[in-house]
Amino acid sequence: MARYPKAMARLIEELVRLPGVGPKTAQRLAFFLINQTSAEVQSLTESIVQAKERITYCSRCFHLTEDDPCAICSDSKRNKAFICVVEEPRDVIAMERTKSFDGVYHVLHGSISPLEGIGPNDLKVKELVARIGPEVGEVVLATDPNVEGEATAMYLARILKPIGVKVTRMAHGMPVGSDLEYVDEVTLSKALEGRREL
Amino acid sequence: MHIQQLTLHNFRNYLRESLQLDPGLNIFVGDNAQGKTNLLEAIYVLSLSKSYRTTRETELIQQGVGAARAIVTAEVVRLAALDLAVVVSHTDTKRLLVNQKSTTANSFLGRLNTVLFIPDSLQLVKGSPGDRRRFLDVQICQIDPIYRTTLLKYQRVVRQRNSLLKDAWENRSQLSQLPAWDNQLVSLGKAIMLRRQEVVHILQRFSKSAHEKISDEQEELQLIYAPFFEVADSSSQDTNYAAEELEQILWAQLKALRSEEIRRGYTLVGPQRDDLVFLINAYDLKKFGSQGQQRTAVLAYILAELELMHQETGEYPVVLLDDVMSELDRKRQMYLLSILNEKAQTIVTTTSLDSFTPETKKQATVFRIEQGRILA
Repeated sequence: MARYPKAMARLIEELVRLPGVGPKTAQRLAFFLINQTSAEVQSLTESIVQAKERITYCSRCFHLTEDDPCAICSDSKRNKAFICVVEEPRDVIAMERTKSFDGVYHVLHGSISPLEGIGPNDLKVKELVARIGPEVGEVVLATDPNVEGEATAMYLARILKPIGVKVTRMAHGMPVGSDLEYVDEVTLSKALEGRREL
Repeated sequence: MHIQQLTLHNFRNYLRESLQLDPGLNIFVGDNAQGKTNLLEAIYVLSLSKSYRTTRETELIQQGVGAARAIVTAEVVRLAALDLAVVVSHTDTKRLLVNQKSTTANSFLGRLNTVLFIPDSLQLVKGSPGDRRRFLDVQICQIDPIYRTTLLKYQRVVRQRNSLLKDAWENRSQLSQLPAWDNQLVSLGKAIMLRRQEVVHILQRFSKSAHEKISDEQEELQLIYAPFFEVADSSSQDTNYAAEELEQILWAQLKALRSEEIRRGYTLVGPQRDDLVFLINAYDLKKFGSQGQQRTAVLAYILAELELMHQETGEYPVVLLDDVMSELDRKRQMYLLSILNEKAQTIVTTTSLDSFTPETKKQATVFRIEQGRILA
């Protein structure tokens, strides 16, 4: 990279720090950027600065927001008695796309993982417990279906249940719109375990 | 099932080789370091998506010719023809293809089933409990994709739990999350143990009868699954645990060993400490068996694996024998090949055809391997 002019080299180095971007992609992006018009580059840098300045976490649910509390938490039509616990803000976006959940969220910002040194105190667990008042009827745990997500759900269930709130876990199921024969064995056996009576 | 055509491209010392295999017995003859084991390794990779010789997969790519990737493909004949391919690359992640379509390891496994018998297989008796668990797991993973997923999840739980226990000395408060991991240790651990117990019972039945024939009914082989909470020696009993029993035992063991686990800093409970016991006439084969007895037992076990796979999948696997004929006396060799001959495609490597009987040589398709070239 020594052969690049200083400003270019710096840009590449900044880009390499982004997740999922290696040296080659960084060079490609840098070339793309310097070939853009000044206005386009201005717009990009402004958007980054603005996002950084304006985006905070909602003090109630810890989802990304510009206003505190966030649009979901301050929506009077939302059912505040129903809390969906997820690992990341992007999980909220995914849930919202379904348009079938009318409750509110709580974002943990990760899952329990001793290997990475992440314990309950590194997640928004205390904040979740503090939210459980008498008005809360049900907490659905929608952490990922991997071992860390399961452990997190198990941990939360153990501390939430004694408070007297109903705790549920997202079901494993068949992908909708697919044929049974094409579903992999693991998903199929999980779906069978979680069958329900008609 | 059998392999009809096998193609190697930049795999180990093979530049580009393509060959038609016989559905019966195939013998590959060559001096040492010509590529005999590499050939078997390639078939194994097509079966299990990874090598048994190395965990660094780029080693599979031919060295010194600037090759970017190694490709192995096979045309497998089952009920229908099936194209399998594995591509290992220096730059990209490994790709597994079924009929030219990329797929996951889970759906790749079980397409081409194999049973491997190499000089190192004697570790099944002589080696560590870990060696024996690996033997068992490799076989179960081929016939049961759910087992494989469960096993991978379970191993992750144990790693997480070990990390927690290791830090517990400095950070007692972390122990509050231990119950969250115990839950998965029990549910996944129970599933693994049940399946192992069931498979060992099947293997016991088949290996006992194979062993009787090899040893002229002079000796009785017994194969016993020894779950982690039992002693693995000649006092081992063949017990059949129900799911609820195992669950209760796992919870009770967790409770009993809790402080010991914290003191040692790792998980002491669960199927990662299971073992298999081989008894000959009620003696522990590992401690008291002769070299010949151990070899016979492993041979019986390999033949039992063959029958297990046939029972579970309806087809016999492809049998890979690396340089083991020289280790077997004439009688055992005849017995092994006579069984394989009527049942399974067999691929044998050897340094010399002298160790084969004339009848065997007549039935076999013989290939010669010289410096990464296969000469029919």
